[in-house]
This record gives sequence, structure tokens and C-alpha cells, in this order.
Amino acid sequence: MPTESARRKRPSMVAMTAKITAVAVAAAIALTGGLAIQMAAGQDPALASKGKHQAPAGGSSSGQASGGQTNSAPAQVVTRTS
Amino acid sequence: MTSVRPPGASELERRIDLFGTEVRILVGAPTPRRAPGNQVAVVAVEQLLRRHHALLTRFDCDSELSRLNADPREEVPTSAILAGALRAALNAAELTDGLVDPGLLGQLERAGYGSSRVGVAPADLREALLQAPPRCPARRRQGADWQAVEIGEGFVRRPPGMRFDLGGSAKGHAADSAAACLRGYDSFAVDVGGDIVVGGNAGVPRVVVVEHPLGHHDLSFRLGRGAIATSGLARRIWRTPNGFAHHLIDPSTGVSAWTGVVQATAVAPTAVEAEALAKAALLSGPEAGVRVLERGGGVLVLDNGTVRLAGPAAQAVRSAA
Repeated sequence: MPTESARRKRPSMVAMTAKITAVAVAAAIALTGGLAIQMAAGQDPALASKGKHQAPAGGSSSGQASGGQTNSAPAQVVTRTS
Repeated sequence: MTSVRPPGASELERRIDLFGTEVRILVGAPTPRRAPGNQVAVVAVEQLLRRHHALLTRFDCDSELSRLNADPREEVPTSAILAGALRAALNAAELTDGLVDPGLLGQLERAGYGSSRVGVAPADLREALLQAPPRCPARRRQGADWQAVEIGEGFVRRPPGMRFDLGGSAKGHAADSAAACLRGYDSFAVDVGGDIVVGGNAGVPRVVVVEHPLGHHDLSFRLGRGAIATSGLARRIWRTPNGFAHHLIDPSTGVSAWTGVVQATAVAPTAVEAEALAKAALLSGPEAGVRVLERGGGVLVLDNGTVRLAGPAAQAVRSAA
């Protein structure tokens, strides 16, 4: 049988749950915050391994016009033989 | 010192097909008290570029350029836009000591580029390079007609029979004219088929990607203000009964130039200058081409896909992979 003093030192179930929840919340905030910072910088982590630049959004087919909003950072431009 | 503000509202983007290529207009938020909303700017720039295209295309017999080329008179009245484009072409010729020659329309037509190639698939560049003649740098023509052209208030005077191909300089001039309308905005880019002007009062650099014509890794660098242009063989190249031809003519021979360079990209203050330097660098070949690009910076891609960097771009460029 544990003594009375040993029983007092053991953390309660409520305290353990609170600690685990706090750690999980902190990890989730760090992860999503990091992703948000990378996305805001124009670096989509999901695309990081692609070798070629991504086709910009809102492409047009021949003879047509199109438009839209880009990200808040200045959009990338591509120079090529035309 | 250039101040840098974080970008504000997102840029408005518009894409249209003009000048036989894709045009892209990007305009950020208006700088406070300096300009109307960017929707107004995008529409105005699109209208300006359409006007340039309508007047300067050689593939419409009713364009002002076609009418000038068909006019037997020595002195012909011109609109301000045509006069500006002609001045740009002459400036390009002077800047490149005649390597970029606006008076080669006849040679271009004889090479097989008499009509628009929009919608026509280009020939295979690798195959063309295998069959191309020995490489040598292009040279200017002695006594070229462009040296005798005079542009005055509302008229152009040129040697009888001289016809103009404004080609790349018309695109560059259009991009510069459009950019001049966008000085009141935090950020902007006008991309006329790879001839690009970037700028904006926020001073935020923009990523510029240089596409590799042979499918190797693209390169990229950041540019806050200025122009970039690329000239190359990959898109306007075709088969002929004797092999292959493309649209970059050696002024001294009057036929397509095979110099050992397949693409050149130049950075300069204006798109007209960048376009002229890119074309001159390609026509000059691998060694002299690097020297052509030294001042503003640039990128050469050689026949075997090797990349050579020149000037300030050599420090700034990195693989886009």
C-alpha cells in the first residue's frame, strides 16, 4: 500500500490531462503558425520538392483573356523566349 | 535609399493574348493619394497595349506599320505610338552597334517568317541544333538603311523602299509605355511575352524566373525595379527545304544566325534596352555575348544547355528548383 505522502506526490488524472492538452495545443499552434508563415512568404511546403516553377494561377487559353487577384506578395514573373 | 514597405492589398492580374504572345498585367494597391484603384489601371493598360498592337503588327495589312511599309513616299506621317516604336527600334540599333537591325523585314520574309506563327508549333530545337551550320557570331551590315532614318514631329523619313520589322522593340516599347502609366502603384509588372518591366513604390522585390529553353532547371532572381527581356530560338523556329530557320537574322548574311547561343536574357533599366541587349547577346555568340550582358546582368544559355551568368545577375541568380 502506498503511504499517504507518496499518494500526495503522484499527479492527479486531471492535472495529467491538462498538461497533455496544453502540450498538444502548443504543438498544433507551432505547426500551423510555421505553415502560415511559409505560405505568406510564397513558399508552399507542399510544392517544395518540385523542380520547375509552378504555372501561375489564372492561365489563359489562346485568344482569351482572364484575370484575378494574386497573393499579397508581388507575384512571380517568368521571362522566356517568345 | 530605397524604402521597403510590406506589400499591402493583393495585386490585380490580367492576362491577354497580344503581339503574338501572352501579355500579363499585375498591379498592386494604389499608393495613397497618387492613383485611382488598380482595377482602373489594369483596364487602362490593357487598352494601351491593344492600341500598340493594332498599330504596330506587321501581320495586319491595315496596321499603321503595314501602311508605312507599303507607302512609296520617302516621308510618311506617323502617329505618336508608331513614332515612339520607331525611335525605340533605332535606339536599339544604336545601342547594339547595328546588330539589332530594324530594316531586315525582307530577309525575315525570305527566311520563311512572312506571316504570323501564332498557333503554329515550333520545330524541335534540339533537332535544329544538330543540323545547323557551323556556329559563328553575327555581324552588323555596313551602310544599313536604319542609319538614314529620321523621325520628326508627326512624320518619319526613310530611304525609299525601306521596310521596318519592329518585332521585339515594339513589345519592349509597349511594356515601357504601360509601365509609365503605373508609377502611382505600390507594385506592378507588365509582361509582354517575356519582355517584362517591374516596379512599384513599395519597393518590394519580385521573383523573376528565367525559363530554360531546353528543359533544364530554370533560374530565378529578385528584382524590385527595372526590366528583363529574353530572346531565343525555341519558339519561332521552323523547317525549311534546306534544314531549319528562325527569326533572329544575322544582319551581315541576311539568314538565320547560329551563334552557339540558344537564349539570352538581359536586365536593363527599360524593356527596349533589355530586349536589344538580349538579342545582341544571342547574336554575338558565347564569348562576346557575356560581355554584352555585363553591365546590367543577364543569362546566356548555350547550344548544349550550359548556362552562363553575366554581371550583377551572376551573384543574384539561383536555381529555381
